[in-house]
Amino acid sequence: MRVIIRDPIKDEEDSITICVRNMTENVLRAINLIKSPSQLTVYSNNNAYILPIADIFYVESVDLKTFVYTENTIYQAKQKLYEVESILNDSEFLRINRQTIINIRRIQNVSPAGGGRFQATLTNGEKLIVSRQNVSALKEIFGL
Amino acid sequence: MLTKVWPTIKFIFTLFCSITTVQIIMNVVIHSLIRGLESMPYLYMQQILLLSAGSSIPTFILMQRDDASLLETWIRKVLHFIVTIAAIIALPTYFDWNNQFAIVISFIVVYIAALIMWEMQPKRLANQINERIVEINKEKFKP
Repeated sequence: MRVIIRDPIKDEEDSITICVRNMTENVLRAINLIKSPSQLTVYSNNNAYILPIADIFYVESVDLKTFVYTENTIYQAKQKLYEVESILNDSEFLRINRQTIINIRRIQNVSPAGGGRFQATLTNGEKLIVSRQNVSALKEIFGL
Repeated sequence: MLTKVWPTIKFIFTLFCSITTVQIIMNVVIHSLIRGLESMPYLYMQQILLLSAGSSIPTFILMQRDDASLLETWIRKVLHFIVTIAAIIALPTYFDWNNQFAIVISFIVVYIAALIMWEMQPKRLANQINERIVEINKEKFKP
């Protein structure tokens, strides 16, 4: 498939045109990636911040509150975890247990944690547990 | 479907072969090298194969999908232990209780082999995922 990237003509709006005969899974994934929001509104110390989704390491639900973790900072989101999950892009984020959604681009490595579970180590050194029920999703997202 | 069944069949076959080998070696060692065990009868090949099958088949019950529920896991464990106990009782009865030692050793081999396999499988999967992570990171930093 050819990929054409060109500069917009003067006053022309930025746009993406997809020209395909068959709507394959990869094309749908690309469309979802383009359409998915690139930012999430989060809060810290009563201040609102616009956080680029790519900066998110993982999202965790603790005591019915949703926390968004970046490399060094923790923010709170107003949405419930399942609402955040629906906002985040499917091909980049993965539910790894009941409380946590992880950005797969931030995983440094995984190792067995016993009982069919895995431990994902993030690039900032944090370690998260992938439950046995979510291992198949982990395999799928990495194309295994 | 075949991709899930084939590794299980391979695993059971490997287990069967390894138990058979261990029993043959054990038979030779007991009757050739160790003195004073003349009262212990030889195990014939068909007996060895039966012991290997009886030891391998209960392990088959423990093979399950990655996304199996906790309930399914426990049902499989309970079934595994029932069948294993049945095999432990049935096999010595078949051999007139002469070869408890051989049977105990073969079951120990089964459990050690199963434990090693359980340790190996997640490690292999983790390695495959780590390879994919490295590939993704390479793509990410491509100009």
